This record gives sequence, structure tokens and C-alpha cells, in this order.
Amino acid sequence: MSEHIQLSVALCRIGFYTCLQKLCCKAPPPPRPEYDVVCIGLSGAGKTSLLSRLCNEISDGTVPTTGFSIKAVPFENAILNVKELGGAETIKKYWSRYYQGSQGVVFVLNSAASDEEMEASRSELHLALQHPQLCTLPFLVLANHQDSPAARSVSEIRKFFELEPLARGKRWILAGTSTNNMEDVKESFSQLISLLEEKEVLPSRI
Amino acid sequence: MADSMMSKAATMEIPISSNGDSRNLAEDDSLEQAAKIQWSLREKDLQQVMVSGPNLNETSIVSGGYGGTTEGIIPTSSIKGSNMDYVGSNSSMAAEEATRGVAVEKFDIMKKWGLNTYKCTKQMISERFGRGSRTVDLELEAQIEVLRETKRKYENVLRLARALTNHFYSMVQTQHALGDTFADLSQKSPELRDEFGYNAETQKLLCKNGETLLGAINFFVSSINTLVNKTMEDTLMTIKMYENARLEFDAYRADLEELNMGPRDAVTMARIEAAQQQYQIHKDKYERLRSDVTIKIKFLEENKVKVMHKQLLLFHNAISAYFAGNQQQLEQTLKQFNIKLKPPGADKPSWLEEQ
Repeated sequence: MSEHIQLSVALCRIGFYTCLQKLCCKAPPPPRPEYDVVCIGLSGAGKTSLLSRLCNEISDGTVPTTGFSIKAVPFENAILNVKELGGAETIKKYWSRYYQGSQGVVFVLNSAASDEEMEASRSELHLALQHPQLCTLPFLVLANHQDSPAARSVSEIRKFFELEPLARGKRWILAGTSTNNMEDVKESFSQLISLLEEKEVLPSRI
Repeated sequence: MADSMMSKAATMEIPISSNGDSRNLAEDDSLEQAAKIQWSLREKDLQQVMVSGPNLNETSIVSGGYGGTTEGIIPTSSIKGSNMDYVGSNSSMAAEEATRGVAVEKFDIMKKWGLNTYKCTKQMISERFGRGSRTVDLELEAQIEVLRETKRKYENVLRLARALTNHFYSMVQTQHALGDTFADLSQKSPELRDEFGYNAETQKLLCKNGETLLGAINFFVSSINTLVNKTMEDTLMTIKMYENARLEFDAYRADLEELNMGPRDAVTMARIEAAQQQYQIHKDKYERLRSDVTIKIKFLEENKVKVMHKQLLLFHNAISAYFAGNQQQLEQTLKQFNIKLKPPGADKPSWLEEQ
């Protein structure tokens, strides 16, 4: 008889602990979503430096990217698989071959560049955003080298790049950045992640 | 729409006189006529559906559909006398036309997909049994095979590096526990205090160095993982698309060759013309993807060399410094590659531990 009582008490205890565990213990955190993003911009804009700093890697002594490089950039609520494409003349013509499967676009420009370079940068941005594989995607424009004395302001760049008419009907962000202030860069990328999350939950039209 | 018109016409109020006769017999004729017109409209609808095929888009709901709106209903005032004016709604008719157009389009897409699948399957089977010919780019296919082999080898490196990390982590944990035990014993046994003390210090130092090495190995594993599962995978995706395009191209090429060998009457000539167009489309697609693959393999090779040069240097330096017992050199290696270590206990306990 006592054995039966002991057994029932043990079972009750197990049940009680299980309920307590279910109520009090935190469930494992859900896996962070991953987004594939393409990062483009002219040579010397600072794409590699920004991404290296985001990955907590050393960024001095950076050499120009030959071809492409993929970096998994971790953020609190998501992981961005950034496909960084070299900005040299010889590589630019192959950009479109890497667009497929992208869910967002990051365009980095040197805000302290000469007028000719800015013009070239503008035409590249316009070309990219009119490409059938990128035209519907959210995009982030980073006006880099804001710490340089010759840097143009964000409002000047918005005007010069004609972003308002270009981005009509699109979701986009323009932000001023520099490698000395990584908080702004992280904030810009967090905003891009928000846009990517929005795009994911939008109901598909029948 | 036709249904709504029919029902409205059929249930229209007919005034009845006291003896049960209709007051206006002309209206009876007009009703019959309305019904006839509705039936002929319905027949036309059916014929068109038979020709165009079923509407594949079952989810789309057409506004102004059957019994939907009041548009297209014949008002009683219009049914006067023998000649009946059909007042249909242009907008609802246009909507129906559009829906029918969508149905035809969907049907065409399905038909094309079916044909394409059939041709590709036929080509694949004939290739398997050695009957059909296939387009071969020896140089590119050799490069693709090398890439696949490299990926397999790197996956093996990744698997072993992960195993090393796990085993080494266990060893560091054990060393930490052993150090704590020695420290505890050095306080509790006065006669062996120094001996236990030395051992405790040694284990603690090994544990500290082990954590530094773990940081380096984790960085190595993470970089190799990105290279294998992201960078190489991106190129392999393009390769899969290229292989599919090659199969499609060969299927349409075989189709064209087959038609060219047959008789040359008017019907066949039209079919040859269509096959020629399809062949050209698939040839262009195949050549574009072949060019994509060639470039991507070249760029991937450059990227792989750059990444692996850095990672192998890091791995070698870290392992050498650890096993040589050179703490300064080990820390210098981590500084060189700018790897930040989390201080022990900085990371939160796991959800299992929070009970």
C-alpha cells in the first residue's frame, strides 16, 4: 500500500515540476531570420571597410575587392548575408550577374568624391535600381566618409542623386555614415532589416 | 451575369386580372423573347469557354459575377412590345472578357510548361540511355567538377574543425574544473599546499590560453562556414541553373533536328519556324548562363584564395602559439586578426540553465 502511495506522490511531483518548468522557463529563442543583400558602389566608396567593421574585423590595410565577397553580418534580430561586389571598372559590368536571389540592396557612395565621380555614382545607382531583379527591393543608400571635410551633406546627396523621383513607390533609406561612427551604420542596417521584415509579412496579391 | 438576368426576367411581375388572364399579353411575348436572348447569350458563353479552356485562376473573383450586381438586369420598362432592347453592362462584359483572357493566358502557360517538361524529361532519359547527344563544354565542366570536389573537401575541413572546437571546449571546461579542485585542495591540505597551488595556477593559465585559442578557432570555423555555405553555394546555384538551361537547349535542339529530318510541307514549315525560334531563345539563355558560370568560378577562385590565405595563417599562428605555450604570441595573433573575445561569464546562461 505504502509503495502505491510513494509512486503516486512521485508521479504528482513529476507532474508538478513539469508544469512549473513549462510556466517559468523560457523557451529557446527562435532562430534569427537570414536575408540576402547585395552591396554595390564605386571603387573607394568604403564598402569593405564598413562591412569589416560591422563584422568586428580589422579594417585598416583594406585592398580593393577583386570580384566579390560574401560576409554574414550578425544583428540582434537578423543575419544579413551581404554579397559585396567590387567597384572597379572591370568588375562593374558583372554586377547584374550577382543580383539574383537578393532581398535588399545596399549602395555605398563616397560623399567626399569629385563631381565626376558623384555623377558616375548616380548613374550606377539609377541603373541598378531600374534593373528588373532589384527594382522592387528595399534599398539603403549610405553616404560614406561623412567625417571628411569635403563631404557633402545628406540633403545635398538626396537632391543630387534625385532620390525622391527615383524611389517613388519603393521603400528606401538614405543615411550619412563614417567608419569612425559605427553606431549610425548599425542603425541604418537595422532600419533596412525592418524594411526587409515588412516585405516578408506583406500579403501577396492574388 | 446571364443567370441573374434570366432569374430577373422569369420572376418579373405580371399583373393578373380578376378572371386570371393576363392584362397585357404583349408582355408575355416579350418575356419569351427575353428568355430566348438570354439562352443564346448563355450558349455563346459556353462555346467561348469550350474554346478558351477552363479558368485556371480559381481564386480570382470577378465583380459583377453571377447574381453579383444589379448591372445587366433588364428593367421592366424596356420590355415593351415585341422588339426588346438588350441593355447589357459594358463594364461587366469587359470584366468577363478580361477574366477569359487571364484564363487563356494561364492555360497557355500550363501548356508551355507541360511541353517543356516533357521535352526535357525525354532529353534526360535519352541522355541516360546514351541515345541522345548533349552539348559539352569540356573546360567548363572540368572546372565545375573541381569546384564540387573542393566544396566537399572544405565541408570535411569544416566538420573536423567543428569537432575540434567541441572537443577542445570540453578540455578547457575540464581544465577549469580541475584548477578549481586543485585550488580548493591547496587550502584544505596544508602539507601539499604549494604543490596543489602550482597545479591550480597551471590549469588556470592553460584554461585562459585555451579560451583565447577557442576564439581563434571559432573565427576560423565561422569564416570557412561562410565560404562553403554562402559563397560557394551562390556559384553552385548558378551552375544548377546553367545545367538546367543546357538540358533545355539540348531538348529544343533535338526537337529542331527531328523536324528538319522530316517532310517539308506547309504545316511542317510553320512548326520548324516555331521550333527555330524556341531553339534560339534557349541557345541565348544557355550561352548567357555559361558566361555567368565562367565569370563566377573565376571570381570565386580569387575570393577563396584571399579568404583561405588569411584564415590558414590565423589557424596556424594560433595553434602554434598555444602548443608552444607562448601566451604573448597567442594574444598577438588575436590582435593581428582583430578577434574580440567575450570575457568568461559575460554571455547569459542558456535557457536550459535558467530553471
